[in-house]
Amino acid sequence: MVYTLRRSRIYVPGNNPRMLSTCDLFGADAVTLDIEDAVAPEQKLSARWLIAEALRDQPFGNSEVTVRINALSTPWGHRDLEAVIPTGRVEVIYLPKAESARDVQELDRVLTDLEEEHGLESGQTKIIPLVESARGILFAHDIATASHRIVALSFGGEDYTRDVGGEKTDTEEELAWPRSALVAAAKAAGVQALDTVYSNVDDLDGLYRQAVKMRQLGFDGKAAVHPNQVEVIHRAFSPSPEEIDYALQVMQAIEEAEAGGSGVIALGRKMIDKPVVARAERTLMIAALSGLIARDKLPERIREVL
Amino acid sequence: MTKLQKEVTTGTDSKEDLLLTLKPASKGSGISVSISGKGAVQFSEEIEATVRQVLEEMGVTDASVEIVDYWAFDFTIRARTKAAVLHATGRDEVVT
Repeated sequence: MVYTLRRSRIYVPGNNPRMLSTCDLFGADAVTLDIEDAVAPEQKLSARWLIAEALRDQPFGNSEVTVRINALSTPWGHRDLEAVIPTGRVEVIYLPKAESARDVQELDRVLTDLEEEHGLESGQTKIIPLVESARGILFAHDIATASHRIVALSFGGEDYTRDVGGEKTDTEEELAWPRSALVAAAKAAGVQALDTVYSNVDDLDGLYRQAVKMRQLGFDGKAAVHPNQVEVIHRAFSPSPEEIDYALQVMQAIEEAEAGGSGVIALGRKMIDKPVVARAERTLMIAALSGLIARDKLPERIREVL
Repeated sequence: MTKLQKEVTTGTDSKEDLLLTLKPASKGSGISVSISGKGAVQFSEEIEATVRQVLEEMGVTDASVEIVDYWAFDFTIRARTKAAVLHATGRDEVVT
């Protein structure tokens, strides 16, 4: 089990040189260089080449480097890929408005051709489909299993609301079902689930509360539209000291049971079953990758996979 | 050889960007580059070298380039030059 931290990813408009030159300062788990919604049609060409040139020599710190291209059905999608993939620097392509397995498979084919043409390792470029329509939600599991390149599904709340003719409210109750459906589809496919943006950049408390709820729902991370949101999202998606402590106790109980040859594992008066163990492992993995626990404090079975 | 078909301006006057105007020039006249703006005093040689390199890579031999620099990084200079050539030659979609 290898876990990649994707608590936060920050959108960086592709037509903004200043933001492109400061990506390494945001501290996000991922940066998403955006040629899609953040860029007007008449600026697509400029944004595409700004991103491509930034990819050649700009620093991105420890952030995963991702690019949101335009849909392949638009006049720009293929050109976006032809510009950015040859740099060899793109780790993930965000595919917007994914509605079927076929959308993903087409992207997979184009990536395979470009990787071969430019001497890159086959399959090195991963895919995260953005599911942001009613149709996309209904076919989310097909989308999530359409390519071995897929590492997560990401939800797009604004476009989804528009697609179903709904109205976005402060509580976002109207998004509860599609969010749950997306999490289930992603987890059934063995990939991560990433939540949509919180667009009120001035309301960091509201962002925190919502991000905590999304973590409880099963999401692995959330998108940011402003650097100030990154730390808040990290806090929401990081385990608390109490959760880390409990996870350590669970792992210790397992080790003791194994050493004693016992098939029944208990912590105090509580039975420890498989989901509890899996949750404890995941908690410690995230804690370790987030720098919340020293490596030597980790159980050996977690250390081995880090 | 890449032939420019029209005059085009790329970039913005925002900080760390530049405005680059690329104009067609008669055959055999070569490349001329003029640079003004905030970063020009300190970095005009570097900016001109970058622009000339991109033009050469793209096969442009005759052109006039006017730049107003607002402390653009090298990647921005390259990108703006490339976008200008692609637009001026009709090899890509509309650009601003």
